[in-house]
Amino acid sequence: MSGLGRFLRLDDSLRFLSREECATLVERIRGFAQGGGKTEVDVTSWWSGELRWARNRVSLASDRRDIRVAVSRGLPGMTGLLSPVATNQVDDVSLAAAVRAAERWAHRMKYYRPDIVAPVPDFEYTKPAIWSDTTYGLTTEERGRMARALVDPVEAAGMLSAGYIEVRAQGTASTPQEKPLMYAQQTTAQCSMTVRDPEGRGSGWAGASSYDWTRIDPEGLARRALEKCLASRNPVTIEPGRYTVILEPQAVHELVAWVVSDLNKRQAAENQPGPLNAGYDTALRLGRSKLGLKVVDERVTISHDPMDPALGVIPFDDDGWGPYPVQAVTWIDHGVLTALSYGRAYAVRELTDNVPIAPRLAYRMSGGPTSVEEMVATTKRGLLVTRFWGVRPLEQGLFTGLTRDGLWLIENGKISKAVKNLRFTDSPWFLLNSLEQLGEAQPVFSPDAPAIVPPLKARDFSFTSLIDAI
Amino acid sequence: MRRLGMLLSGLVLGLVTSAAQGQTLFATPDTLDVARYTTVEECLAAISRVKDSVENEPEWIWRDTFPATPARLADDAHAPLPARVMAVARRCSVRFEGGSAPLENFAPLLSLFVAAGRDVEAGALLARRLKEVSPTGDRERAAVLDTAIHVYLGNNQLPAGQSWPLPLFAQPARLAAAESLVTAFVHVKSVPWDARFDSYGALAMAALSADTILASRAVREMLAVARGLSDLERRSSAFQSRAWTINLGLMVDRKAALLDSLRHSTAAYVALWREQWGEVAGKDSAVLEGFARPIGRPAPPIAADWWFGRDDSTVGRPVKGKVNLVVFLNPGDFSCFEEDFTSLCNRTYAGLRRVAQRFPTLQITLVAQTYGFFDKAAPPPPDAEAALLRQAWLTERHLPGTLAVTNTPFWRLPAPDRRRINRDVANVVHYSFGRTWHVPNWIFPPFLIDQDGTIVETAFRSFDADLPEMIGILLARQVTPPQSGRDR
Repeated sequence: MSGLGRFLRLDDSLRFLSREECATLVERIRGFAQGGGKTEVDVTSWWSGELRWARNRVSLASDRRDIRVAVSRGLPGMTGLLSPVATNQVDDVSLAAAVRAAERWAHRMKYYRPDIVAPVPDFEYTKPAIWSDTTYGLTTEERGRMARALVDPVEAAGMLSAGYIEVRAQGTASTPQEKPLMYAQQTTAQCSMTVRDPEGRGSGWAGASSYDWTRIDPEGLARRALEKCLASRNPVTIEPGRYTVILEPQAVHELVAWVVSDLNKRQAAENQPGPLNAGYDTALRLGRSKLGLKVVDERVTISHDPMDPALGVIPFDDDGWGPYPVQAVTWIDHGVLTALSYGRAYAVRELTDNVPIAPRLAYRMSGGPTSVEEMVATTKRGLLVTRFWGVRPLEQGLFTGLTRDGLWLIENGKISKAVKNLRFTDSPWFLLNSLEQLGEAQPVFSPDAPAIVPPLKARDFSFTSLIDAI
Repeated sequence: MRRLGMLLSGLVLGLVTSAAQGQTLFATPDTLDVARYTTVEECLAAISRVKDSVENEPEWIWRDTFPATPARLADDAHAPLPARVMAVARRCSVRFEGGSAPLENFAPLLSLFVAAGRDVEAGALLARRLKEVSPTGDRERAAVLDTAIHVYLGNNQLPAGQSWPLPLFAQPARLAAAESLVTAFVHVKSVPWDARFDSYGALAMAALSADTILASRAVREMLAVARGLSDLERRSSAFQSRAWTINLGLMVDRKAALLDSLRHSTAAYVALWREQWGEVAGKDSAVLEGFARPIGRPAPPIAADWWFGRDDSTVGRPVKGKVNLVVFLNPGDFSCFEEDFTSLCNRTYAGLRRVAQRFPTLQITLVAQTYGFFDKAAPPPPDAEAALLRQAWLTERHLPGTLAVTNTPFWRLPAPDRRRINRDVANVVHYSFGRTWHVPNWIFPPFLIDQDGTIVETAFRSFDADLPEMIGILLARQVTPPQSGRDR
């Protein structure tokens, strides 16, 4: 067992591999290679500390970690990027076995793989704000204390709560085509909680996520979830139908995230039926997307800049043809579709260049000047939605899901009563074409990729059935 | 609270550690006792795993002596499944009996029995299933028979490009049983003509390398179905999509007569072929012209910006007075680079090399064009791309002949789309015929051209089937011209 085996033990001070540790590991792996050629290695190592509670009592507290080492071997005379052999064992025997397996695969490939691969472009990748010492330093004990502080006021109010706190750190290293080691380390933190009436009459929720734990206000989340719960008790039934809706940022995100997902699929947008497909061009014999066309309300701009302090992501991506930088992109500019992501394969074959647009789920949606209070005040009859749950696609562009944790009827400019949850069947693309007002964009709960989203008011949102669940 | 957290941390760690230690690598062949498997799906999955491992064991060897059909595929026509695979199938199927197994598992069970070589059980199961069908249940009867035909032939290809969700292991194909099932199937009233056509076609394909008499019989029946169609049916897309199969069927069915006519003259060959095609396609000129191969047409000259491997730069291609083979290389052929040695592309390369070795005087012209990228390299300048094409086809894949590369003019869609749109180049325009014979639609479309510059043939099952015989005839004719050359 080599020295690196120690990283698999929980009581070590290092919980994931640093740049230096990755470099050492890569060199060890390269030392196992036989027969010349090159060795590409990707290393992802991570640690996660989490705490979960339900009915005001902790149900899980854990620290976990793992490592994934992916090895590709290229034999002399070939530069093909082969599917890697992956392992999470870093002792000498396991690493040597992985290298042998990669070499067997390369031998099988070598006869028909041409020695022609687009070189990885030279680039200086950016260094976004994605690391927080505070997040990395949040111990099991502190997470426990935090949970107690969140649960106590809820318990004092005679309510029940469930929630989840997680802090995570990850190191990602890549050695593309003999270039210097690329490395990035990232932290993420999330805190969310649901407060419910013990008799099942009301439910409230609040959550936040960031790379930096100091940007999360747990007490504020608890206060908000409790207020929502209390205010949503004893809901009345209303008829499903088309309503003017005021969506809080979290609710907007749960729909617009699907829009961003569509923006990450240029080939699908060109070749498959969907909201961004403009059909088949028989004259040119190719599928067309709606690039260059207006697709949503002109007040909407959706973009991402990895250097945005609230939207940082690992600054490089790899689609199997080698890594490339994640650069700033404006997907939708004042309602017009201006970019769709694609990898190097698409860049080479369709655009005959070598500069892809990296896919990503992090985004910023532009906002407007109207506060939620003003939206309510200007609504004759409508619904205020805290968030959606269980959103899933039905067919191209159309989705369904449930309201949850707080839904209120607005009548004559005032919130009049809590109402029972409803199922919606609508499209986020329709929603973004039916806007009336936009509020100030703010970070939302999105642990997988940061997002900054405004609240909005839209007309004719379609609710199709009544849901009994609180 | 803190104590609880630490306790849970330790518990979780303990579970993770023990789970990791408990992991075992799955080794092939299947190390589990498959006789303990209780469902037919588990059995089929196990058979698939072992079959894959057995088939992937041999080392690939790069050589030009690949038979027309790779050994593995050729063996499939006659040999049973590898013993290890059959053993797994037998062990796994012991708990099932054809006379008593539940019929809701009919299709996978039938596949399992066939894989295990328990054909008697398979027959019993099929008989029970057919008995279940009511006398008026034509559609159900047809569906059962159709399933059984595919299982017995091991044919997982469906006409629409879909494949069966069921693993099929009939090796060798149970031709006799399948023929009787096809006969029963085509007599079911509700079966449409295209399904009848496809059944005979599947039977013919399965029999081609194992039982040529049965294959001929099936082809004849397949063509009979086509000949019996109305003009309206012939104009349907169902007919059009089967034109290629009909062409090959005609070549199989009337091969001797067609080759005899070619020995006489190209004109005789063209006339006979048109007559044959007319019998199938009817008198509708649109069908005749739209889907017929461009045989009998003059071969246009090949233009190029770069020539590689051309001995005499003053001689155009195709070379007049010589027998020529013109082969187009399409961008879709790049996918061939990533395939293994048994792939269609690599078999095709080997076939073309064999043709060149056998007929040294045959003039082979490979036609390519630039696309602004080469495999994964972009964007090479046109002359660099042409050099890459030469390297790939002539140097690395040892394709024989002269390589003609045309620089492709293009334009770009305006931003933000920016895609490159290639304009048609002269070679592609000149060698595209009718509605369906469009060069970019085919992989390796070859044109056999006689000494007088007339296109003789364009559709071959492979470079090893039919083509060598036809080249031999044309070259022999060159040496010994027919007595009467009036109709050449």
